[in-house]
Amino acid sequence: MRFVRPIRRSSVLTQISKTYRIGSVELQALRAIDLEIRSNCVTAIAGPSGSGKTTLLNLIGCIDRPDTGELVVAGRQVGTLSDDALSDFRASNLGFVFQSFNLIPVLTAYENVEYPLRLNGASAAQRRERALAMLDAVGLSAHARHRPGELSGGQQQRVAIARALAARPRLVLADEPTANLDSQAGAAIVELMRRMQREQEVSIVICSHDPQVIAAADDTVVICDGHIESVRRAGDTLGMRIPSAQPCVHVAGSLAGGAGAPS
Amino acid sequence: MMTLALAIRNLERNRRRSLTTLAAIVVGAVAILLFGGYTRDIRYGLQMGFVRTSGHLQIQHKDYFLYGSGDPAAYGIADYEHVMNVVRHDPVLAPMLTVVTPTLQLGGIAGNFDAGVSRTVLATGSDVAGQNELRRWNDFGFSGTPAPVALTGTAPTAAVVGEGVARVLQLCRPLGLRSCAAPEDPATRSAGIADADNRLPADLAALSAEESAGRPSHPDTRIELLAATARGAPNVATLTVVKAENQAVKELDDVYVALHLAQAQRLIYGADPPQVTAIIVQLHHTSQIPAARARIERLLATTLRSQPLEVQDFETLNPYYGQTVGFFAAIFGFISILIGVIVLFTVGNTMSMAVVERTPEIGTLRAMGLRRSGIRGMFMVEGMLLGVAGSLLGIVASLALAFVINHGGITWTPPGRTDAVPLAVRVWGAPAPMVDVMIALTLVTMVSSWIPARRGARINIVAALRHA
Repeated sequence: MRFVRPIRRSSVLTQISKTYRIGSVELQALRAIDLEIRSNCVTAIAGPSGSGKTTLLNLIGCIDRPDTGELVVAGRQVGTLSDDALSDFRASNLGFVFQSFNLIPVLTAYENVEYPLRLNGASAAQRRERALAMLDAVGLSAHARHRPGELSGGQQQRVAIARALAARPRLVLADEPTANLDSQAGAAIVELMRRMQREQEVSIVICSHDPQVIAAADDTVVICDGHIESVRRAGDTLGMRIPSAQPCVHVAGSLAGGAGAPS
Repeated sequence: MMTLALAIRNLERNRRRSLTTLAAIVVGAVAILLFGGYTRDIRYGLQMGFVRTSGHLQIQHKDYFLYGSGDPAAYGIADYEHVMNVVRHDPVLAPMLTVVTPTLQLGGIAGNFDAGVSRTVLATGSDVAGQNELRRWNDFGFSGTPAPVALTGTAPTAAVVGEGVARVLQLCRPLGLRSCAAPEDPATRSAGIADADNRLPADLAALSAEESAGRPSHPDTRIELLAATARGAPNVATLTVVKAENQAVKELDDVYVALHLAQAQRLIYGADPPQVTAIIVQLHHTSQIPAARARIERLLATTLRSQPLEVQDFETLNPYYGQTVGFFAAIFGFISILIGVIVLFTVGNTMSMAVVERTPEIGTLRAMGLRRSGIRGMFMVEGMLLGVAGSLLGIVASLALAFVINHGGITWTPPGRTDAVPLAVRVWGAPAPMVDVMIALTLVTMVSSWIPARRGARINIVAALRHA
């Protein structure tokens, strides 16, 4: 079990392309993408439907493989890893938050949060301590024994966030995390993710077209028709160009609704 | 641990489908165990019948088994009392033995010369005390006490015949046999019979008169048994039939005659030293046959090497036993395979549906880092749980049903018997078949889960997540 403080490693995509074939029809989802995801930042990937943002997220999340290009995730070259090695890599380095929450329905909130820790071989004591701490952090200690069906959408997404962060991943991938929530619950989730990102010092990539998410992100990547149209990094708006290799450093007290200001 | 907990909860999640699948496994287990218990009872019953009449092993003159039926007297065991003593007092054999008793088989012609009828018969001379000892063997715990042999307490000239023999020799009425019909037209039948003076050749009549001199006359059931002596000369014994017993197999029933050993020996050997054609050896348990046989063979090769003797076991002596056991084993195997296939497809179908329904979960777990083997294991554990739970419930259900059947007062006539016996299924007290059924059904459910589990493990993660 890796319980050391995460090393800040960025994710780098170089000339990444991905084409889907549906029968005789080819759909080029990504076209020679070059992108760096800064460590310890919240990066939003925005764009219209069908622009390729989920494909990009899947590639960064190592649940899909590019046709061409080189992919470094959290500092690790993942292109040549076997399926089992990729699984292990995901278990110890990545966390996922899904649009439909995707909690395991037969497990309680506590067990859902505990599951990634089991995959990483944590001891029972470590699992218990960490899972309860994460549930506490997302404000659901009282619901630890509840199954997903007994929780509201917002509560389920909180559990999903706790689960994604339980094993101290380097990178959390969130696909439309607010899409299935009302605006109030969505705003709470964005705020929670922002807070957890700072507390856990983790990189988060959020695929969304929710303005709240984009507003809360450090960096925003806009993608259209498989191309990156623009990359706005925190500080750009303040007229300060931030080198891409530099991680985000946040000012204490800066919360959702504004990008973290560079020191 | 989590895999097991997940499997149990996933089975609980779709309770109706799990219960239906479980029911199929339970019914399968019950069918296998009850039919297995029923065939076991038949096997034990058959074995008991043969062991009670012919013992576990028989010491015979070499080649008697192959050629002796043509001339039993030529294959007699001389000094058989000595052979029996050696066997009885051997320190290795003694703890295994229940009975060692001689028997003499002979072929002859039985005639009711008063009625002018006769027929060839296969007669067996035996020691009544030994035969009654043989009948007490009950290694399988069958209920009831066996009746003593019909010759018990009878005169030395007494005989028991098969009902077929009694019918042909027209002894039905004197013996009071109700099921034995008289010939349709006695007048026609008697027309072909010579007058009373010619019914028995004079020399044989004299021999018969000599044999029966001084014995109480019993004209109604008296028969003459004509046989060749060991020297080849004809000899006749006058016997009094005390009972006719149905022998279940018509071919045997039509030739069966049982008489006292001494009478049979006098008929075959006259004044010469008596011999027997077999020494019946009965053991405490059938499982002791290999050890007892090896020891007897050792004795025959050393202490008893003065005459060529050999040992045969009851399965060789009674091929019908092996045929019947094989027949039921084949049916049992067929039923087991059929049930296995039904369970295979039922569980396979259930697990396939589970994989389809839980595709998004599979995608989530895989995204979180669970390996393909983890997904495979999850579904296979579910299959295994169904198999274990189903077979356990099946065992409990079959024990309950067996109790009901065994105490239901149902009777039937098994093969090789003439009397109805209680229908019994031996499930209780036979743990090996229960363990076998449990292992087999669990393996079947795991095999049937493997293909859906493999398919689930190979689902593309992105496609699985999109499946929601």
